[in-house]
Amino acid sequence: MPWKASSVRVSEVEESDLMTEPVDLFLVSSGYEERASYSASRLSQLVARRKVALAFTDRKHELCRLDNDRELSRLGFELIEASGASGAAAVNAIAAAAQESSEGGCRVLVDYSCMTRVWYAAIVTYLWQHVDKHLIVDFIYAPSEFSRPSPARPNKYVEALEGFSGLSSPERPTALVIGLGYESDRALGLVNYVEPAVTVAFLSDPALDERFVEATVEANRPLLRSLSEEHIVRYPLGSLRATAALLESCCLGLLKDHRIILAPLGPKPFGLLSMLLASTHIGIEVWRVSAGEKDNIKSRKALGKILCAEVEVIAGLG
Amino acid sequence: MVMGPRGSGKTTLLKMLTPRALEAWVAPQASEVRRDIPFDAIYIPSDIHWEEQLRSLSSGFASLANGEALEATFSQAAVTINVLLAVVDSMFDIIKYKRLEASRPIEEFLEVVINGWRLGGVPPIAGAVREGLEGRFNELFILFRRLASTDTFEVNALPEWVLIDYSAATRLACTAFDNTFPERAGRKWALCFDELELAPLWLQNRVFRELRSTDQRFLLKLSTSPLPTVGKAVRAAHSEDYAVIRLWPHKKVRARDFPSRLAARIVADRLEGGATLAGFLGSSTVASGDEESYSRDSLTWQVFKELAEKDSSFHELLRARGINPQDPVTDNRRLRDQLLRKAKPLAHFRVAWLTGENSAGSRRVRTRKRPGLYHGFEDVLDIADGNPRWLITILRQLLRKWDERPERNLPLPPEEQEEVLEQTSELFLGFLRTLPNPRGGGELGIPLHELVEILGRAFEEHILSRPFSLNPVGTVRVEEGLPEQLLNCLRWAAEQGALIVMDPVEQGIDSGIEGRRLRLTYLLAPYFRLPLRAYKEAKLATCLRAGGLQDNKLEQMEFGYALES
Repeated sequence: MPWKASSVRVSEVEESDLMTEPVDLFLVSSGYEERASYSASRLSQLVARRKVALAFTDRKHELCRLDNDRELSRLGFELIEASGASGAAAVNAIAAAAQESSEGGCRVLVDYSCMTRVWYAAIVTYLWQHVDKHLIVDFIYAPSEFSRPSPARPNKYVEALEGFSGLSSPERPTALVIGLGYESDRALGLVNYVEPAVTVAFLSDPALDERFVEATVEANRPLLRSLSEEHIVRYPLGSLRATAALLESCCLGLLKDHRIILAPLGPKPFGLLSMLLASTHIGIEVWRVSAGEKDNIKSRKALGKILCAEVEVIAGLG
Repeated sequence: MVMGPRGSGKTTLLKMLTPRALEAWVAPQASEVRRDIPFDAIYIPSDIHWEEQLRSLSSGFASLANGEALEATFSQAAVTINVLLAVVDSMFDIIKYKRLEASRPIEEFLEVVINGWRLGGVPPIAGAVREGLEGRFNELFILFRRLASTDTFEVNALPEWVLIDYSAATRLACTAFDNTFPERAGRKWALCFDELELAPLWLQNRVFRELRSTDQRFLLKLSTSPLPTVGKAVRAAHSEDYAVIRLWPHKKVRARDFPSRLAARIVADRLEGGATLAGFLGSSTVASGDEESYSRDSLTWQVFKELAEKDSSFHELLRARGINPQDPVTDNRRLRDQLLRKAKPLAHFRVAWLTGENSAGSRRVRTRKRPGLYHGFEDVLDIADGNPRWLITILRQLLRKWDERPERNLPLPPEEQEEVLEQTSELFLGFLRTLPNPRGGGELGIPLHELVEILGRAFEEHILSRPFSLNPVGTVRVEEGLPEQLLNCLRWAAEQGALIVMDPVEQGIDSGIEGRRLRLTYLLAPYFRLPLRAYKEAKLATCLRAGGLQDNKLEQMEFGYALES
């Protein structure tokens, strides 16, 4: 089994291109957010050998959950119950698709818009652990309409994401690369806790809705004020390829002299790109910051766009 | 053992012992210290990131049948690599900075190390040995990933180097080094373990057991938090085996000695014309002990008079002690010391924030910024509470204020000093609000910032709202029998410097927080409108309830979720 992929190819795909070829598996999630079934409905003409919706074991009756279950069933998705804290169901679905696919390889479409970080982290981990399966995964994301952030809650847990930890000499200084979110002072708390030698903040600007930029800047004003301009990287959320290139360039520059922690606190695509980068480089870790179990729930509505990153993991080290 | 909260300078002190730092040190006493220091230090780093890496490494084996054995082996292997890297770095710094003459080719020394540390294939070159060791972190991580995804694995099947013991490997290298460089024979080696509270418990236990080490060539220099969660061996260690240096103000140590020298140096370096700290900041209205301040028509006299007019409890206190509330002055030295001097800071605070009394006799407290109570060099030093990091932060802000002024007159105006001190106080509370729970420190029964805010409110109420007392409640004593979750929170607060342990044990280190007297750091005083004094103690639980802790919260902590559900 390889332990790090040697490279990951990330390319942007137009929505129309997704429909041109059948896929082996279309994997989505069903939860309380309105946008959970958005891409499944929008891509209803897509030919998929198997359609699976991972249905959260909790909050089964809250907000739009029942509507999503109904809509996804109507679209031909098999609902499989899964705990948000375990990536096993997501991995099992992909492993089964890979097993049943032709020798030419396997193509999977994953809508991670409403998945937990644990789920898509497990998928990324599976990808680099099974490069021999010739898997290509199209990760699709339905951005949400703008809504005000929930009231700030203190960070409770700060830790490496399972499968994305590392081991390196503590004599090397730590570089903390944060994908800023719009929850107040979450990033600042992380900086205060880790006390890194270098902090780089990735700010989604331009975002798909300018109000996200304003809210993110507002929520992180003290931190942004403390950083020099070259340590604030603005990335275009609409272009995953450009964002991946910016992130890689930043991290590779730091990697020579630092241990790197990637902390994606903002939009999920940044989290996905962080995991993909960490899966190819020794010395890059991905950490999660969480306020604990009592997350405030909110029904986010899809903005009406789909962002797609086609990911192929190539070879690996022995 | 050096103990202290974040920012108190533990790491700086340990690093200053290394040959590299001693060489770079510029000070009148530097060459004497360099010459006389009786050991060579090996600095072994640690930090939050490293702690999390070791935790992840350990938790990865949780599902394996022999997971515990693998967990211990991998944790020990990672620590060994870290220690040996530090050994290599120190040895080559010693050769470089002390210009030691080798009695045999250095390659021979390196061959011994390479063989002993099982670095097969590494050429006998210093840089290569280092690279070989660093590479082992990767190798260990690869092994971890592979083993964590298997069902079972025998420890005996691991490569030999994984099983190397850090202590034996260090002794081997040190012996070989001393044989190669006979001129350092007889000197000791000091293993300096930084931030020991972040180390795995097995290492803490091991290090303390080694305090009674039979190998007299080695000394241990450790740094840790004020109230570390320690293992059995630490608790059992004989206090005469080690000396403790506490880097925070407590009953035996004044907070102003070192900070005043540090502050004076920063100010002198930054301002021209031989400016002093007192010249830059002036003197505190509240803290200055000027005799003149108790005379008729002085500021303090006016404050006493004004307070007596709007606070009947103070009026009554003066009257009962034979002092005229309309003319609060006395020639009786004893009365001045016992009453007026003690009343002075409290009177200043009450005058600044009390607007009067309502018909029921309760005192009304107003919100007001910049009361004119926090300024002057004494207050700046006290608010920094002996913490160099905080002091440097505050002074930088004050110097920035001075830079921004069109006129460069000294001292910096008190209201500008107060603005900086209030902002720093708020920033620290903001920092506590965003701080996550400690790793391995157990659940906190209450978020850290909430604990601090509850205590702050309770003290503020005693000092401003209750009937005037010369010794109001301003500190707490941690009674026996409180829930473990609350004790975890107190320990975490002490580690962050939010709570100050006022009476650490005389000998050894505190094995717990029960029985200790605590106060809020003075850094939070401007936020909670508290004087820079340690007043009377009350039981912690009493204070928490007075400060607004929810009913049943302590019981909920005691019984976990039972009462919540």
